[in-house]
Amino acid sequence: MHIKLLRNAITVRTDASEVAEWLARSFSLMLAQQPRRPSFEVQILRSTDGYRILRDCEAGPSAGRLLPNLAEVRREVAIMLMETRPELLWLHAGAVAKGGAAVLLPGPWGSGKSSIATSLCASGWLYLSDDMVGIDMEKNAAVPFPITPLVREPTCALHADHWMAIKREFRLSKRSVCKKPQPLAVAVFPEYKPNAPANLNRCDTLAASMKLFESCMNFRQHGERAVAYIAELVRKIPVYQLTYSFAPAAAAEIEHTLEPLLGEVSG
Amino acid sequence: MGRAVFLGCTIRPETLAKESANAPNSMSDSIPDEAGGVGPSFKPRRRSTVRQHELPDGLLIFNPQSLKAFALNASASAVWDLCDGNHTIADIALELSQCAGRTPEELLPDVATAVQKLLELGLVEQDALP
Repeated sequence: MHIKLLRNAITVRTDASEVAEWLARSFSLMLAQQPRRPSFEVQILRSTDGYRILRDCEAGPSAGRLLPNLAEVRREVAIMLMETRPELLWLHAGAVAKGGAAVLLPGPWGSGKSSIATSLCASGWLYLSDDMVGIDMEKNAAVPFPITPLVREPTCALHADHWMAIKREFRLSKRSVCKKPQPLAVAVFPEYKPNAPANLNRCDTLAASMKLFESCMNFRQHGERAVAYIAELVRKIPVYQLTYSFAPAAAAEIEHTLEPLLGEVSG
Repeated sequence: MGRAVFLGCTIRPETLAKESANAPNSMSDSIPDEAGGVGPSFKPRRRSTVRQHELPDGLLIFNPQSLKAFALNASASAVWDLCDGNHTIADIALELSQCAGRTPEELLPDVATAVQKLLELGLVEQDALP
């Protein structure tokens, strides 16, 4: 199969039907026809301990990386796609858009990026990503990475060991997926707190810049340029801290508070 | 992931103005060093390789050698601004006391701790001896 990110693509081959099926579902919104020249080819082979992933011409019994489960395979393929566009600043973040402007949702595992992004999509927002977002620093725009969102079941607690078991795929229609990079208008840092009402408050720029640094996935590639960009970004766009316990309520709070700001950006 | 550290110090940030009054030359060196810490006569200087970006509520500092970013709150930023190789720690405490509503003696431990931290993180160095 061929998975595309903007004009780049990788070709994935596998001898494991469950991997093929899982990746086809995970990247269903990013599948492409055979590219003229893929950025690289990936082979995923079933082994006794899991799956071995090899890039391009790697060969030999110990070549490549051993991945224990399908969740790791998905993540590794996503990272390889990310590596086809190293000029972007990649953030561990979700992102959605409305009215031609994007809301960035940076946060660590378990903060609820996917649940909030999909809740917003359910009320008409466009989906860019639920886990990693590439930022075009020159254009100040979020690049769509529409991997199929994985949403935590509302009744499930956080158990890293059972990651696959407690998350389900959220089906998105092609119409609810954003196809073009969108200018960044707002950043919201979600924080899940049991029993907390949805509460959106302005965040100071210093704390916001630190959170953005912590969510950078390829910071080393950009160094000072990324620092300057983040400093400029938090000066330029409003940044919020969101505490919540129920994602639809958090989405409603975002919609109510931020929609007027998005109109200002796109207008 | 990027590595970020928040640095703050407790010099009543709400009362600290960025443009403080003229700095007297120095305070008495009789104030003892904290154990293992920097002394009042220590002259810290910002490393030339370190980059800084001003934010509304502090400074964002980046050390390209360690690839680490640091956030300095208003108090720590005020100390940082005076780490110019000309001011001793005692001078910094004296200068900041004029807008912090505390005596230089009260401020000195906070300033010394802040400078010590900046030193450990490789953001400042001791000014070269003449």
